Amino acid sequence: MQLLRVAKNTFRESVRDRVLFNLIAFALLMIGSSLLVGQLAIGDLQKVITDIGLSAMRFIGVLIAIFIGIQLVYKEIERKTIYGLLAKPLRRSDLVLGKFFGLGTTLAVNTAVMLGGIVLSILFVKRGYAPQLAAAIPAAYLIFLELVVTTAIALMFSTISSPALSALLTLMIYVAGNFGENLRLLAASADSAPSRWLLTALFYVLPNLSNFSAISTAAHGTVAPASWLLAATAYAVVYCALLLSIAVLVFDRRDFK
Amino acid sequence: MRFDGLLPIVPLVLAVAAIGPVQHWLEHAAAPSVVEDEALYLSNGDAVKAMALGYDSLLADVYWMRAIQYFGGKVLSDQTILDQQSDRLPLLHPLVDVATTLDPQLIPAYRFGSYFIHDYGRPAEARALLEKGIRNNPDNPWLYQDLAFAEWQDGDCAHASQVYAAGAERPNAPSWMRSMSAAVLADCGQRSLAVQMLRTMYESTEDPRIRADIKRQLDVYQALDELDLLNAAVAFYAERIGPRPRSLAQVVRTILPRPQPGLPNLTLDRTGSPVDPNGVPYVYDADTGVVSADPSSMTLPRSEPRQH
Repeated sequence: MQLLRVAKNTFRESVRDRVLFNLIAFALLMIGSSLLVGQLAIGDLQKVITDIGLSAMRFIGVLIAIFIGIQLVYKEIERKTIYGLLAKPLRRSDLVLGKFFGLGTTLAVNTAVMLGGIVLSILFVKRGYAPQLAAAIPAAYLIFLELVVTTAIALMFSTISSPALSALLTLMIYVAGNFGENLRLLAASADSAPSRWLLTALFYVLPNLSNFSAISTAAHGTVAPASWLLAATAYAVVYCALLLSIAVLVFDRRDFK
Repeated sequence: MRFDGLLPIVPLVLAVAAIGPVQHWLEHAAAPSVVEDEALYLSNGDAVKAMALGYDSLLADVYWMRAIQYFGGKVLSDQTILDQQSDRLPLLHPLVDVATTLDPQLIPAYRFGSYFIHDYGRPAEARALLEKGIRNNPDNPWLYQDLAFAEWQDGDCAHASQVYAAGAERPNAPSWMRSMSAAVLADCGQRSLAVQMLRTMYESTEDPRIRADIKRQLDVYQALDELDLLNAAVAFYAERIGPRPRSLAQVVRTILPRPQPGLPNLTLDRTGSPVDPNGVPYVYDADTGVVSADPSSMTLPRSEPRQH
């Protein structure tokens, strides 16, 4: 119950944040501009709209997840509101998890708004149905899962260090997470056993964000299969559980005196 | 109303009014750019893909649009580029290659990229691009059609026939593909077959720019047919009727007064002189008896694309 209250407050707080609106407006502008940019391409205009729209959704979503995610806990500490919160019958774990679910809800709403923008753009261009319309929905869901994992990374770091360092570390993990497939290939081609072992370990430890990459598939009008969505959901749940457990453990032991 | 409150509006209005003239001044004052950017900093598709951070598809679009702009910019800056025989668009293939590595399903890039790469100087790279497209999209019959056309243009009728046959096996392959396989072998080097192939390519695309270029090629073939007819008519006139005719209008009036079955239909201007598909009269040299196309209207190939 307390967890839900924290989540609700975090969602409200995020929605009131002007930065968030600016980012969403920018994303919608990018999606709208795809109508013009697409004119430069030869071939399917709806392919370009889907590419630009989903990429904008992902890019802006990552910025929100990182830069709001790292502030979630730190803001309470900096404003000293944490003392008031912890004085209430509120478990520390509820605070961390509530913050996570609150931002997750914000990201879900943002993703849905941007998806609406993409759908409207495609409908405007095609004046009817296009395969990209159906394909964009699961692709947007996978992007949302990626954003949730990124939020969990940012939140975990925000319980450990300062916002600047948290942002840097989250960004590094995010970039490394996009090289997941390359790590596996490198491991397969490594000569020595220790490097093979290290690269394989890195592949499993780092979040493999390419698991959530369906932009290209959607742009070509192919709907991501349900098995992919299920497996990606399971992966996101497991990875978030891992990161949030670390965050709760660290936050539980943190001394605010 | 307080004067102080209005004060900031003055510079604002002045600045807005000045933007246009200043920009105009700047455009005239700046030295024209003489250095053309002919560098492609990231030409390895695999490297770009590795650095794309999941934005592969978007980057593929960017590279593809850059390729179109590069091509369009070249054509706009040098109208004669379409008629030159040498390698004129060195960056086109690397740009399209990166785009298709980033997005292996980017069919328009394979199809139209190879079309222009072939047409403007690099046939081997055009064929390689289409082969890459077929490897990545083995069920797309249009890639087979385009590869067969490229092979045929390069004189490899046997291979073109094989590619057509392979394309005909694909699901959703148009029914005429199988007959094209036989026709390519039987009519190797025939102009009428080139026209037939170009028409199928014209029908298979809806892009106005590609259609315009194919139409340009179809016009060239039409002009070649009409020139053959007119040169034959002039020769016939000189041999059977009298001295060389004074004008083409005279030849048409005397020998080709009405359309003949199996022969191209000539279009005439008000004076009765035959005109090319662009509406420009054909040039007739009364001294030599040779009819040719006006170079300001269209440039014809020095020789047929392939004669085997």
